[in-house]
Amino acid sequence: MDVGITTLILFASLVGLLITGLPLAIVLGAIAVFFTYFLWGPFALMAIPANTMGVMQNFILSAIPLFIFMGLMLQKSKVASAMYDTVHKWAGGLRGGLAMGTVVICMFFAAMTGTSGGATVSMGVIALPSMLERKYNKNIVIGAIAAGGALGILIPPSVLMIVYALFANESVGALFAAGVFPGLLMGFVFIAYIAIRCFFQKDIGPALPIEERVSWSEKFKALRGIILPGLLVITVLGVIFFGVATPTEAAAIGALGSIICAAISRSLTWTVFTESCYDTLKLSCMIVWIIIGGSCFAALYTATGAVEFLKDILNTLPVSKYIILAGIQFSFLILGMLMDPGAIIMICTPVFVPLIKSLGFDPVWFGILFIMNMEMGYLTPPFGFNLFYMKAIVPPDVTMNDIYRAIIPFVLLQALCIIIIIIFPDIALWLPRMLIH
Amino acid sequence: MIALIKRLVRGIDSINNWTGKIASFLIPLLIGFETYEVISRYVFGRPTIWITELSAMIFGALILLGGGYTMYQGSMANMDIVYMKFSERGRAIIDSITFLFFVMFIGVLFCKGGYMAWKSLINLEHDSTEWAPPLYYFKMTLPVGAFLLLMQGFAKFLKDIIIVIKGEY
Repeated sequence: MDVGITTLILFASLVGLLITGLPLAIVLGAIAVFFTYFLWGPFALMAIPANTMGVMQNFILSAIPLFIFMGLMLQKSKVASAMYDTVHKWAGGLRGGLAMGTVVICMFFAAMTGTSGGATVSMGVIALPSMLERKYNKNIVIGAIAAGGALGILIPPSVLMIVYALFANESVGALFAAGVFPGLLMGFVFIAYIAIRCFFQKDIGPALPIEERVSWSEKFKALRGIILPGLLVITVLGVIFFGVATPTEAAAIGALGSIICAAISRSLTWTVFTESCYDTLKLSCMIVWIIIGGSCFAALYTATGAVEFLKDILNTLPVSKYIILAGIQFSFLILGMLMDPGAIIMICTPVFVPLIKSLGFDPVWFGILFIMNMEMGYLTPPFGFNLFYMKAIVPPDVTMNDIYRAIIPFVLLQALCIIIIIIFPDIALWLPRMLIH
Repeated sequence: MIALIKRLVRGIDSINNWTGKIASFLIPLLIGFETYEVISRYVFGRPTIWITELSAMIFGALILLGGGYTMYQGSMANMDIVYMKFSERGRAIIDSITFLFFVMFIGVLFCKGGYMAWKSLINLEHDSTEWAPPLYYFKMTLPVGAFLLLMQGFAKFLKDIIIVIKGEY
């Protein structure tokens, strides 16, 4: 059969089956089975379990349950509320200080865990009611928490980066390193935006009244709240970046550290422990079963020659490669509105990375742009995870429409950051280059 | 008849519930082993030859055996923008048709994976690394995990059929 027609049928059936609500892992796997059978016959089906076993024996992927466990444990321990207490005492006196501090806590959380859920849920429970009580404008509050939480996938460690690295055949360490400065940039852009708005509009982020502010000795005592998380961040990232251990081993150390954190804050009970194990299993299986289906699909996709076919088409297009890049980013934005970011990475990485390489772009840099775009995916309706989290947490008088309105400026800021990284690729690529030499 | 089917569904649910809960205790094991590896390398000055491989196997077993549990908990990610627009009965009709694709994929994993495990067992296959652990135990987790998923899928299919016929479960 002609490659063009095969490619078309392949993607049409992918979209068709996805719409039926069949789990993504099954959609990808079933398409792989169906096409393998009809293109190469029943004997070729051995490739399906062989691919699956390949995924299962991948040592790098075993970091996924470990990072997820770490995030769940930290979410259940009282680390987040101790950190918020610190922020409250240090930044409460500034206009918009609590919202800015919330973004900082989200950045800490992002540097401790590999997903975006932990920070969003913890801050939603702790920071949101406290800020609303202090008459903060709900748009600033919701936007800061939802956008800050999404930083979890950009600031290393990051589960989605591990998935990208696997399918793009790049080093996990290099991607982690490349995420550091774009992550900091995005965090500080959010903080700057909050600071500027609260400075000019007095009533959207009022400072704490004088009598509620605390003395310097109180402030220094409150610093205790960030000692534990600070140590955990330094340990996990230090271990990875200085090559002391592999990302997987660092994840194990971090997971152990999170148990210790929970024990120190006296929130480690048998129920918390077993619930964390069950939830870790559930979330890990959800992600890794999609990887299983995705790797079967990717093997099929490569074997049909569809990659070469698309590459040829793109290379003959009479436009600048930056227009093509913009087109790809735009398609990610649309996909981000409709699908789960993890799923998009698994489907699109094998499709786009060979194209990106043939256009002469750096795949690590492209990975960072991809992840930043997926952060927007967490915030863009109708399918935005963090929007659902927020809806579940906010008081009943805050409607879904309010939430949509609150995140608009933050989505625009995210887009701005993507453009900055496209123009200045060195912001992402400087650190991995430094660490490798 | 329906009471009998419901008992079967409950039985399958509970098998996967317990398998998943027990399998999830592989996670602390994974944490323990890998931390020990780092300690062994830096404190005792000798890396182990077996932990990296064993961890990958524990991870594999965890994911494969947990598949049924994840499905039982309804946590398999899907795209539900269009799907959720249907009534409960509409969704049950769609699901009982797409069950065919489920069987196609997981069935191949079960049959071909079982064949792979069987070949590994009769050849007493060992890994070609320094530690050289037997591989057949590990390869067995694929057909077992696929079987657990197939059962859970079948239970879901039975539920859907009852919903299609009676309008509720």
